[in-house]
Formats: sequence, C-alpha cells, structure tokens
Amino acid sequence: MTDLENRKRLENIFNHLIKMSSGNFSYRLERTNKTDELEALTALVNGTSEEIQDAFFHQSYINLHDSYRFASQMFFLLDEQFNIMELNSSPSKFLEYHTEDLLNNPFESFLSDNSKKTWGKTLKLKSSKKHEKNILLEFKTKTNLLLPSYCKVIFFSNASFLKGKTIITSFDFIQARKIIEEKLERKINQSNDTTKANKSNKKALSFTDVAIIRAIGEHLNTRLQLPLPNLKDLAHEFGTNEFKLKKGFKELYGMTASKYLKNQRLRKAHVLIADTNKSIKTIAKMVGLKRGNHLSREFKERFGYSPTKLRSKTK
Amino acid sequence: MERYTENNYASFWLQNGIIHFVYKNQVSIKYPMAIKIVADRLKIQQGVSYPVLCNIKGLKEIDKDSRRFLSNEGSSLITAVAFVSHTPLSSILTKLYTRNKPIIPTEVFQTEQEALEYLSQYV
Repeated sequence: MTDLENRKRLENIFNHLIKMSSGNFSYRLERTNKTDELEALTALVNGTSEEIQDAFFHQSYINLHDSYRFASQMFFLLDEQFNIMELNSSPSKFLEYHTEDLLNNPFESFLSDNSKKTWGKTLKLKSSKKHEKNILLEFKTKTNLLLPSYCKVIFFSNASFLKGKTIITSFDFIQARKIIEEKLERKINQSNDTTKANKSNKKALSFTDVAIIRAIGEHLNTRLQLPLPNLKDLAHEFGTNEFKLKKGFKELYGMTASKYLKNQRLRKAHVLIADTNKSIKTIAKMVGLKRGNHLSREFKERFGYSPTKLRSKTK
Repeated sequence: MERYTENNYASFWLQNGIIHFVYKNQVSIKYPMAIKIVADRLKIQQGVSYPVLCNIKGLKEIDKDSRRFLSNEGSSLITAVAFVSHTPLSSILTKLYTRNKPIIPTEVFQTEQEALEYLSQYV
C-alpha cells in the first residue's frame, strides 16, 4: 500500500475516534484486505465501538450476552432505476450529506462495497414473487465511516399505486441474537413473533463487582455438568460474599445464579441437540440435568419448542 | 480416517485425532455464520470430542455475538483450541476473542508446529 493510502486509512481512524469522543458509537470503519498493524488497529477500534455501544444500550448490564443493533429511522423512496426520489431528514444527518447531494443519485452509491453486493442480490427479488425483505446494509458516510443498519426493502409492482418504486426504511433498536432465536422459534412453531421487553432502571454495579460476577459466571460455564455449588462457598472462593453474589447475578445477568446456570446448560444443549446425534438422555447428562424429560421441559420453556422438534428440523 | 469438509468460509478435516480448521481468505463472521460453523464442525466429529487447531490467517472480522457464541456453547465437544496467528490483525482478533474467557483451554501460537505440540496433550 502506498503512503497516500495508508494516510487515508489513518485519517479514517481519526475521524471515527472523533465521532466516538463525542458519544456516537453507531459508526464503523470500513475494513481493507490488509493484515498489517493499521488493519489490526482498525479492527480494534471497530470492536471497541461495538462493546461501548452495547454497554450503553444495556444500561445496567442486563442480557450481557446479547448485542443490540442501532438503526435510526431512515426512509428512502427510489425510482424504477433505484435512484433516490424522496427521503426524510435522517439520512442527511447520519450520512453527513446535504439532502440535495443524496437526491437523484443511485441508492447504491451510499453503500459500502460489501453492501453493494447484498443490494445487488436483493434487487433480483424484485422480479420474483417476494416483495419484502429485511437486510443489513452498511451505509457509507461522506467521511468514509460505515453505519450498519437493519433495513426493510419493499418493492412495488407496476400494477400498484407506487408503480415499480422501492421503499427502504431502517429499523429501530434490535437485539441481534434475539432475531435469530425468534426466527428459529417461528420456523419450528409457525407461530407469530413475540418480543419481550427488557427490564430497565437497575442499579449499576461497581467495576470490581462486575469483574468478580463475570469471573464467577465464566467459572460456572466451565463446569456445567456439575451441580451448582453452595453460593456462600462460591462467593468466598472469588473474594466476595453471598449477598453481593446474589445481587450481582440479578443485576449483571438479570437472573439468579441458579437460573444463569440453567440458561447456560440449555444453550449448550441446544447446540448438541441441533448438531449431533447424541440421545436427549446423554445430552441431559452432559449438561448436568438429571433426566431427559427434565431437559425437555426446561428446553421447551426457554426456547419455545421441544428438543425433539428441533432435532427433526435440523436433520 | 480423514474426514474433509469445505464450504464458503473454511476448510476443515480430522487428522491424527485433531480437527484442523483453516479460514478462507477475507472471511467476515456474523452470528448466523458462527452457528453454521459449529454445526458443520460437529457433523464431522460424529459425537466425539477433539482438540482443534485453528488457522485464522484468512479471518477478516468477527462480531461480538459470534465471539461469545463460539467461545461458549459453540465450543461444545472441543477439548482445547490452539489458534495459529502471525499477522498483527490476527493477533488482535485472538485478543478480542479470549477477552471473554472461553470455556475450554485456549492458547495462541505463532506457528502450526508449536500449536500441534500444545494440542498433543489433549489427543
């Protein structure tokens, strides 16, 4: 890479850090195919934005294992050639262009190279029967930063009022992990979508408390097949007390230590049921649940479908 | 017996009791792909636990959900992991990965030889 290109990469990193320093963590740096120090720094800055963004939306650490995706409500109306005809005020704000610079330009020209490919594939749907699709698009700002947004793309047929036009709207906050889980649940149960609101307004823990509770959680993950230890002993082992442990689990993970362990066991069981041929009874034993029917009951309650149904769908 | 699998993001095979896993060039891992990676790996393992040698030279990026999944329930039926990383980028990616403590022994090496020596204790 030439000095000029490297200088440009460094400049993008500065731009991004300036955005972060003013409290905006929604943007990402575009990655190159390099594996050098500058690329390592770029990956690290992106990883850091992702962590901080999630920490902000979690507020009090609830659902530590889930990520949120941020997307402002952008709205685009495209003509038959996919040029931008109309838009609301958000794209100009978030992509840093004047509205006039966006209007009448190809929608594609405001996407990252990766997303241009996704967009190209999506356009093929226009001629098929399916007229709506949810996709993740990375918008590219004027200063070369990426803004990943979950979008709904709606194509209108020539017969409709909007004659061959396309509408793109970006979503609101979404929990990425939840989307996948719910998609599978819907696929299995053919039932309707249900989203659970997250608890909020929890009191935050001190940095040391968080580190200790995290360490205890990680410790439990490594010994799922064993029973939950006595909480008092467990707390002492990690230099805290039973009260703080109980309070910490509720605040950090949003559940008791026992429920946390059960949740981790069920997550592991999910993978083993979906992707191995081991019997439910064997899997129950591997994840520390006494009997197969115990696993089946808890599993159904957690994921909304039974282990046997999951297995029949993934085989 | 050698069992070999190849798909869009990696090739992997079982050799001398170790799963060798090599990411293809410029792979970006998002959560749905992480789920597929684990499913494909477990398919060739046929219910048996193995250590994994993971060459991440080709890995471009991996998001937070994927990191958490792979280092947690996604590590099912793995006895230990040795990452082989020798570029500044792959070294940062392994640091991000191991920040959430993986549930199984995980080490990072510069060469495949060192990695295989480490894994030999888990075969």
